[in-house]
Amino acid sequence: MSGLPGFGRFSEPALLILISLADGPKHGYAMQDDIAGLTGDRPGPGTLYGAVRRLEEQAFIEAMPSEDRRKPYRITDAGRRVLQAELARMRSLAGTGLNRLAAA
Amino acid sequence: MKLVLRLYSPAFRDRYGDEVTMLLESSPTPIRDLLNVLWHALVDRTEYAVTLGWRRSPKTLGYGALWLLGAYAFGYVTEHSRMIIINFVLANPIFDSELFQMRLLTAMFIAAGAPLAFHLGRRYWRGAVGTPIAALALVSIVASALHVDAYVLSAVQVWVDWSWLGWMLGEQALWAVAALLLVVAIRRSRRPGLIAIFGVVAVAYFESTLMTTLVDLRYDLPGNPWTAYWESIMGAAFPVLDGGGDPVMVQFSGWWPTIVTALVVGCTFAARKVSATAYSSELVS
Repeated sequence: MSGLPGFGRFSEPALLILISLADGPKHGYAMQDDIAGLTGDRPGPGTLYGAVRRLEEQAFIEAMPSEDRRKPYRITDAGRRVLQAELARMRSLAGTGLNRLAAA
Repeated sequence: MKLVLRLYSPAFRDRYGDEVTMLLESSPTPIRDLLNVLWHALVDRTEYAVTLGWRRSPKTLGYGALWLLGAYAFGYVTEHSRMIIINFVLANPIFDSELFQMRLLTAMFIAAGAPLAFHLGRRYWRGAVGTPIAALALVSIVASALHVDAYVLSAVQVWVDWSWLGWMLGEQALWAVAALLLVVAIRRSRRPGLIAIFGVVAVAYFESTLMTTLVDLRYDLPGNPWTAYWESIMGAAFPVLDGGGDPVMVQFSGWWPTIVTALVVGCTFAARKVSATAYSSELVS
């Protein structure tokens, strides 16, 4: 299972957004492009902003002052902690799985 | 594009409407993205209106309580109003027309519900009262269309014993609790569609099993699963022995009123909320 617990069907998009914002603020279009580069699948606007809404509600990301009609978002300290924990969990899970595959 | 965005709640549109619009305008796959927005608008609205909102708003808790109350009321009221009307009609041959009976029942619900539902404005309590009643009117139309013959025929045989009122209320409460648990399970699940289907199938299976047993008692024959399933939907009457050894008829109301009403009330509520808020804020496109 991948994604953030408690985010329901937005858990995976929310995780990808946090990863996308980990190296600096981005607006919606830049996030779409970045996630497309990471996963090979570009999230639709409904998926993206459904996850953005939940991440903002949890204070894991926050909006910055608008640039024209584009509004950049950045990851908060709480968002970094959650992302760190989730990636560590996934690394542990992946390690276990790979070890078992190698042993089989 | 604007029409699709209006499906979102005003809060979402105010906060993210410009950005979503901009992404749609510059999308390399506009149809796919428009469908993506359409789908998420509908699902997002449903989640916040029906489930997530419960955590935050006493108003939506009130709506939820009335939603369940509407399910109780419909299961109980239709069971008895149908009997009263049909008995009256049987006693007055001039009205002995199935079509007339069901139109009368439908007209009663519509006459009571439609004005409240659609013309009393948007105030909270008025909307909360009007929504379930409007849904009842809708359900009565569907019920009238689907179940005319069986209702009339079974009504001739049924004797309603008021001493069994507690049992019937308990049955309605059971289904209401089942519906509530189902809503909670759907809310918490990452596969809400599957949970919803599983829940309805489980309820139908439970009631069908019960009915199979009762059909065995009534006819003293091996139960026919199809008959049992049909009777579990429709409701039926069964003879059982009371404390004195005399046979009395026990009437089961069936599971469909609670489930169908819960679904229809929920859908009606969602549709009313979407239509009431579709033009409550301006969009910039």
